[in-house]
Amino acid sequence: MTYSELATVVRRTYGPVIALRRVAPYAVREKWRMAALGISILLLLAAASSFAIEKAEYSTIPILSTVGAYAHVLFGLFLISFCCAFVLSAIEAFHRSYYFKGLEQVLSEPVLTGVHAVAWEVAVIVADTPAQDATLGFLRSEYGQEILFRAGVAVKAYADFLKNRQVPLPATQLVLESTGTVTLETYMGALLAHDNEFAQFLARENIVAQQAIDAAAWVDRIEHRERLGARWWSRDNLGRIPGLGKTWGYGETYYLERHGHDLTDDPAWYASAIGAREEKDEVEDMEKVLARARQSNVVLVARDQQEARLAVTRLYRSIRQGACLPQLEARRIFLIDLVGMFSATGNKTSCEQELIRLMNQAVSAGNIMLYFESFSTAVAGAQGLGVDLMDILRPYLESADIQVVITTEPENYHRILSRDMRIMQLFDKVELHDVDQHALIRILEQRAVDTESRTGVVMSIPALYAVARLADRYFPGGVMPDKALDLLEELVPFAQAHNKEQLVQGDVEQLVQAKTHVPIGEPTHEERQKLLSLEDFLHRRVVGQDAAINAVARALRRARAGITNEGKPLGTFLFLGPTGVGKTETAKALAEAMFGNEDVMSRLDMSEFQGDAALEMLIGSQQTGEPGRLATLLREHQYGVLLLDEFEKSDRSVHDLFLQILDEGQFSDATGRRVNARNVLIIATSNAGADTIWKWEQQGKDLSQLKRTLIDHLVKQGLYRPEFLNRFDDIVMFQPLSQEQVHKIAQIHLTNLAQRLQQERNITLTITDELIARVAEKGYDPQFGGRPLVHAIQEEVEQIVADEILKGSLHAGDTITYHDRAVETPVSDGS
Amino acid sequence: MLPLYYIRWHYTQGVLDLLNIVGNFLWFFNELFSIRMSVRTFFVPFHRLSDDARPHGALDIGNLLERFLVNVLMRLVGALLHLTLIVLGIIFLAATALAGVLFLVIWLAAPLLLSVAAASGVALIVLS
Repeated sequence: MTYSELATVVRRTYGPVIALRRVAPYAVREKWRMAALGISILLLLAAASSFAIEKAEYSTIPILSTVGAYAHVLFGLFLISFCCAFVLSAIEAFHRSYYFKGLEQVLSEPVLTGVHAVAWEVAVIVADTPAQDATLGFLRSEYGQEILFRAGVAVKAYADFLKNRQVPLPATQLVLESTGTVTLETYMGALLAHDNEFAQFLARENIVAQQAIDAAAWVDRIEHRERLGARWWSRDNLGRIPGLGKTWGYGETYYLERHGHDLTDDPAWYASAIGAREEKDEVEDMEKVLARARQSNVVLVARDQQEARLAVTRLYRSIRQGACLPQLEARRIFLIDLVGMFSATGNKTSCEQELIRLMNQAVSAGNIMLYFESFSTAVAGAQGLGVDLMDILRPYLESADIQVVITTEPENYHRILSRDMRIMQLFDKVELHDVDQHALIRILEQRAVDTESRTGVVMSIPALYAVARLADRYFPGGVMPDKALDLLEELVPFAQAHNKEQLVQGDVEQLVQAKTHVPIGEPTHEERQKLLSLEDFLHRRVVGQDAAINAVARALRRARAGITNEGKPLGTFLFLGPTGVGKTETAKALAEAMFGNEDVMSRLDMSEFQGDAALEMLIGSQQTGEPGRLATLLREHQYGVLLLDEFEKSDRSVHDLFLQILDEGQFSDATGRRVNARNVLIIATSNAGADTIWKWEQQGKDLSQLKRTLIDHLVKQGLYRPEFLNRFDDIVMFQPLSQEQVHKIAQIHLTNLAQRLQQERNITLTITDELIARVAEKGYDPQFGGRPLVHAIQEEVEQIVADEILKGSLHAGDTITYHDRAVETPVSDGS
Repeated sequence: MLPLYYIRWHYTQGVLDLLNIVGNFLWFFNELFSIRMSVRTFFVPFHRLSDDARPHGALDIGNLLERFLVNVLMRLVGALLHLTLIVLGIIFLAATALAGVLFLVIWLAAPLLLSVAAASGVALIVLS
């Protein structure tokens, strides 16, 4: 549709009210109308009182007689003001008649039929758009400004943009791609497609095109919702008032109330009104099954039982609003606590009797739909009492008198329920899926509007995008949309604490970073400096290994710059090299560099995972119910560094598991629950190939050129498969330590010891070259790298210091100096 | 142009809108008083309360009579309540329809009525 066609449609559809808007805008008209109505009422009251006084013949009291004399004047004034109020109200009705055009309702009304080619908001923009610049008209209009506000663009920013605008977009150049109604969303899309300068301005404001279009769609929906509410006389609004006597024809429900409650009394009832999903697929699926004549029962498979309850409540809402299939009209949904009922009854006979009584009452009431949550748990609970739950329920489930909805988790459905043929025959399965990104944004938008009216804190579209993305990425435990909605709610006190009126993407990132300690979003200046000099930071702890440190630092910078795949762990490395050359120390230094704390590192000795039971030990066992060590570790430490020592010694099945983890960042444990590894940095270390590295070193070869050869060598030996090695972000080769490097390490260790002695005992240890040389000499072993150094320091220094302290010859305040293979304790202040 | 636009709307879409509002209220009162459902379940016992306890053993005329009486009574209670609802509903529907017709007449004759009212108002002020 071209712009001139659009303008023609606008004129044809909304011409009269557009003309009215030009003569008197809505706000002015409304002010006049309210004033006229108020004056009319006052004059009517005054006139009525005057007539009453006149009739009562109070003429003896002078003031009252004067008032009575004006009765006719007051009535005359009332008639005039009433005429004004009537005319103004009729004009308002005229305006609203157009304003409500094309409004979609659940309960149809004859006058609203037909979809209009252009939405009201677009008509308003088009009416006020100058021919020379469509974007200018858009940005000057109230709806255009609201869209930019929702997109998080500051008023000053677009005012500056308009001031410095170089290339205006003539309205005639605008072409809209729309098959249905032209909405703000369509209009925004067209502007972005045709006005490059405007698109670039938004990009500079950190708003991608899709977000700007979504902001427009959001304003569309806010306006639509406002219009639906304003039409209080619509069937949708009037129909919300519950009818009288609807339940008189149906039976009592006291047994049902003893063991459960009507879902309108459940907290989910209110939640379902706020967080209603736009897409109704699952609810519609349930409705279709439940409306059948027989065997109308549903098993709702959902990862989260609360989410399942919300879905059932949404169905109940549509029943109560009369927007469901006629077979379900007047149905009441009761949530029954079967597990509670079984524990209350205590034995087989009374349990069976109570259950039969309950089911009989549900049938005789005539309008009951029963809802059992976590049905597999109830089945197990009944079994504990020796009751076959399905055997008792079967005749009811087969009949046409009652509908039953049960819920269960996917793993329990596969493990328990799907194995029972009776359940497979009597129930239809409906799966509740996590909402997709698009639907999630719409749910968040809806909640954001509610939060806004409640607290005054306004969300922007980029903030909602960030909520959706970060809730999914960093809170793998919960289900969508709940965890995103929870994060949204948490943002409100955050905004209030920081005195923010509108939340943007950075605020969400800041909150999530505070909660998880994972660096997110734009790095701060300090962090940027740290990242750029990451090699120096790592070298403070790791001596030598320049190639390895560079490789790791580069990968970490890539991850932090946000250009890595979000569906994978934060980073994955395989550290190859001999023992004691700094592999573990590098992992610790990385943990400190990335998370600010080396304690976030979890460690698994992979040599423990050998043989047939290896995989079970890691992911858990279905038979014994034992949880897996890796699954538990990742659930308890969702954010941090996972160090897998001596990886080559683990079983081949473990390699297969990690093939998946490195690729997808997640795996399923024995019970089928997903375990997330996307927020950890995975470092596998391996001594495999150490001999070869050592040999090359002896031969004086340049090791940095031989990484590929080493990898081929490992593959040939059958220690690793090529597809496994390819999954790592980088394979880092650590080199044997030179004598000089060992000296440096010795110095670091001794400095640490000296600091410890100073802090804890107030004893000063003088680190001499002689001491360093001695420790390095004793602690260096070509096979074990720098590892024996710790032992050497213990023997050469710590032991002697301890002995001296015990002998009483070394006191606080003393200075000790290593000399000629012995520690000298010169006399000092303390001795 | 604007007055012409308005007058055209007043006698076309405006009338349809008014009829739609009246129709919505008629629909609403019909739903509020559950008239359709009350007619359908007119003789159903109130809250399905009934005495179904059958005696064991020999025929017990007394018990049979008692059950019959209880059941008839419950149906009568149900019918009485339903009747009340239906009557109330009909009253509201009739009042809405009447108000609708009245308002429609006022709407159609509005230009005339308003002119008369305004002229009377001016006359009252001037003459008194």
